[in-house]
Amino acid sequence: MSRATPVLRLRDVGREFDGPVPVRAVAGVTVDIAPGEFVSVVGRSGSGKTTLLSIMGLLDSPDSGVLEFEGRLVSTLSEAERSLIRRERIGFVFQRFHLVPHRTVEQNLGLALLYTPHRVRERKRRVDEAIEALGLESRRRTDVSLLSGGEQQRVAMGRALVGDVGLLLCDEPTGNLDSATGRTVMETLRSLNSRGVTVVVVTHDPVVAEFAQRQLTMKDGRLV
Amino acid sequence: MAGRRPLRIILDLMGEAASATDSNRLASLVLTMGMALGAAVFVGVTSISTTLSSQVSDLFDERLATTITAESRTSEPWITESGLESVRRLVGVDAVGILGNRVETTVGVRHTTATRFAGARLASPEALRVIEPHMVAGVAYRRAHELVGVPVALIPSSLIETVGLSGIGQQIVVGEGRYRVVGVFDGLERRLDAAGDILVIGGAGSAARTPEAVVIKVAPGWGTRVAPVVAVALRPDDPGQVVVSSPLDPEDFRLSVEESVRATGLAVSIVAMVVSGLMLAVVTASGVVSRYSEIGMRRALGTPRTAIALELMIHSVLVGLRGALIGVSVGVVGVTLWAERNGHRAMFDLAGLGKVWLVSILVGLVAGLVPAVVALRVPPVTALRS
Repeated sequence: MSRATPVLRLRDVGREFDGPVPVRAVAGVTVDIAPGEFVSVVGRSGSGKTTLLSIMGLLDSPDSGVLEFEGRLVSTLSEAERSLIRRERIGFVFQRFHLVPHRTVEQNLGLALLYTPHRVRERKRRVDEAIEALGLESRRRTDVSLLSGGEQQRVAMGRALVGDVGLLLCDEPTGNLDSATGRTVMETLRSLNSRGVTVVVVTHDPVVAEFAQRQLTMKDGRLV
Repeated sequence: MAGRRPLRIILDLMGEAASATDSNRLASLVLTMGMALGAAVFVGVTSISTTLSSQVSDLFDERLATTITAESRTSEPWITESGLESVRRLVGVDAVGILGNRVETTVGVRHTTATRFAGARLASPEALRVIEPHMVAGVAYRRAHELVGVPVALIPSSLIETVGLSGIGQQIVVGEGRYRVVGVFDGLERRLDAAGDILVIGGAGSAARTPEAVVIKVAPGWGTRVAPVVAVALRPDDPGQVVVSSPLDPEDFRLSVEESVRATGLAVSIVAMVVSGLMLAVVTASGVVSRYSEIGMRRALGTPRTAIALELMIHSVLVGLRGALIGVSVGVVGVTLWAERNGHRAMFDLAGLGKVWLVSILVGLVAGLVPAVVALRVPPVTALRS
């Protein structure tokens, strides 16, 4: 990938949901996300932020427009190829953490390395590094259900980063956290960005959005 | 997953499926117990039926396979002492006697009170050695009875009240004859059809005048060899007049009993396993719904749909195998204890035990199929929102 190639390239991307009254969640979005950028997408609830993030993360497919990931036209990729890209190049952090309960911190981190070509020793090294980087050494074998919200979100970030992801997509990462813990999480994201990870954060919180280098605002499914 | 090392993929699949088992302990426990129940029933029923069929066929060898009955096609007198002697001399014959057909006749302690009816049969003293009554009081027969010329009778315990018997040695009336009751029995070792009839020995009562049968007791294993020559031995002049009821071949009977009992047992246990499998499918499918969010997250992390589906199926198979292990252990121990308590030798159908594993794997696969298909269809975005 050349430096000029954006991580994400969206051209006139749209997504409509069927229903009694069809809802156009995303309409005509055109934007490039460059490697190493820290971008926030702000907007009110229902403005289409999460749908846009799902499209960026190849979890959902646009029904109009063009989406490229690292120069590859996503519409030409099979489901298996999209899964492979998500597994190896994209990390997700969700508002509700989405950790697997009744499993330990290291087991949750290890989930992201399943079905990757890494050997067991390499996987363990990566998990160890993530645990150390996130300051969760003492919680390594703790059931994630017993962690605080801040700790759970750190585990979720660690899970996103144990692979070699180039893009981290975060959906309201501080939504379930108090302001102090939320700030810590954002500081962690900034730190990751400084190490070369491209970060896109969807939020309705202007304070969180301030951490980004570039802010995009959505209204009624469009970037304004 | 193309291009990955197969072994690592298999290890990931197995590891993740096993982790899912551990993380959903209550559901896994319910599923395991369900499968264990099915497997235990499977092992229990097949083993008990194998043990019982063996017992039944042993019983057959000892009782039915050692009894031969010869009857005449006509009502004319046909039994001769020389014919009986010829049968006695046959190799494998233990005893030969004469047993009359059942007649319904009046019974009572005196002629005036003989207004009740019961079945009665003539039995020669040697016939008692063949049919072997289970005596609960008195004696079956003594030579002395014959010497003093007293006709005697044995009555089944079920007819004591009907007859009005007050004690051993009392005289009773059977039809036109008077007999001294010398014993009471509660069953017969052979000719179970005569177990409810009064047996009269000697005398000239109505029972003695009925068409008679020759009953023969042979040593175990000799039934099918002796039976073909009985007619010739009894009536060398006209063997075609004699109808001989020979026992089934013990081996054929054993196989037929075993087959019959085991087929029933197999049907019952397959039903149990299928019910367990359905339960497994329902609970596993509901487990998928409860794990929607997790499945969505896994999809977001890039876990292939097929891997998630396979994990669910392997999980289901592992639960099935774990249940089978517990069920087989419980079944084997249970059947062993049952057999010991009942004086049987526990017998296990090893092929059946092998089938338990096969069936549990198949049930696990089928049960895992439904949730796997459900998981395959879960759109990650929808699952994440759940």
